[in-house]
Amino acid sequence: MDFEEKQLVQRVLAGEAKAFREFIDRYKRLVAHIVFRMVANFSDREDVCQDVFVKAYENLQGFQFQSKLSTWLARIAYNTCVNYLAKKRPPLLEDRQEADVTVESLAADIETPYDDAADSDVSRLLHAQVQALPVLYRTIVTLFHLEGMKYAEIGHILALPDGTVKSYLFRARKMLREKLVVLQEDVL
Amino acid sequence: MMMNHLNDDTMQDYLDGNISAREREEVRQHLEECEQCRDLLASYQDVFAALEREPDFELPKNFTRKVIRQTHKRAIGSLQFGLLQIFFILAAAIAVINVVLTYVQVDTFTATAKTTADAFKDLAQQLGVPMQSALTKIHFNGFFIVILLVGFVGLYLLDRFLLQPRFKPVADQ
Ligand SMILES: [Zn+2]
Repeated sequence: MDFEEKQLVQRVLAGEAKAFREFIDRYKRLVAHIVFRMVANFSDREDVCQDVFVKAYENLQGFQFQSKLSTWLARIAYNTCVNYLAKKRPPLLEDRQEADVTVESLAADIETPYDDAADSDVSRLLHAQVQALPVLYRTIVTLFHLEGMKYAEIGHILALPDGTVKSYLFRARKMLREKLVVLQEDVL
Repeated sequence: MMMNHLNDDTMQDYLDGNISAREREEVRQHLEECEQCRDLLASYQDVFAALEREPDFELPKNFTRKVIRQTHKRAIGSLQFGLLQIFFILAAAIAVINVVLTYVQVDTFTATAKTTADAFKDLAQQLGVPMQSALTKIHFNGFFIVILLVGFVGLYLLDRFLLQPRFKPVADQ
């Protein structure tokens, strides 16, 4: 267990305001990764991020150091987003439509023919396609590729077996690869 | 030795480094011989590159400050609510005792009740040793008003010196 992590938690619990600021600064990237990936509505994202940290602050007493602090916090972030999405069922549909529109419109935006120089453009377009994946898929690819987490860690956050995490991850990447092929054909 | 074309799963395991050294060598050999699989690998590499690209998820600069302010507000809110509850319970208890002592003739109570009341009076007198002479003259009403005031001042001091400093707002960045 990380000694530095334990100290930080103890300082926050002791009511040291500076420690909580450190805590937020340290983990806001992780929380933003999860929340921004899961919540499509721009205006709600920051509020959800705030909720995550407020919840973490109020529940920190119960943190038993049985997992990494980042895993524990990511779990809170994930659950907060799930609750948010459950309350906002209709926007989920909107979210998908929005995503479907971007596939064509983004591909249509490209005027330059596909060559080595445009390679990074395809990568950029593909990056935009991550948001069009199902919520669970895009959360998994984010935790794996941006946070460098292992299957087990992701499984713990999402309450899924490791095998499921792996198969979702593989499916998500396969879907993106298929989109990539379409994008490349369109720009050729 | 020529093996079958690489499937998606093998390709991804290969890129994740999830395969044994021997399998790895086999994949490498096949890739050297097969253009189709090299293309597949290249497209997966593009996918991985896109996934590793840092998204522009930018929280506002004052995000940290906002969170701290919110936790501060909620903590103060719940504390004030807690104090308010304590205060009302205290006030209600004082009011009830006061009414009982004012309108009910303690002397007409049964012996048990009288003993209880006497014990209560003794306790009150012990608590207010310096005011003992005053207490015997002043009606119980006065005594309870004093208690009420002491309670108020106590709550104020508790809030001012113990609870508030603990949640002092953090200086802006
Ligand atoms: Zn092949």
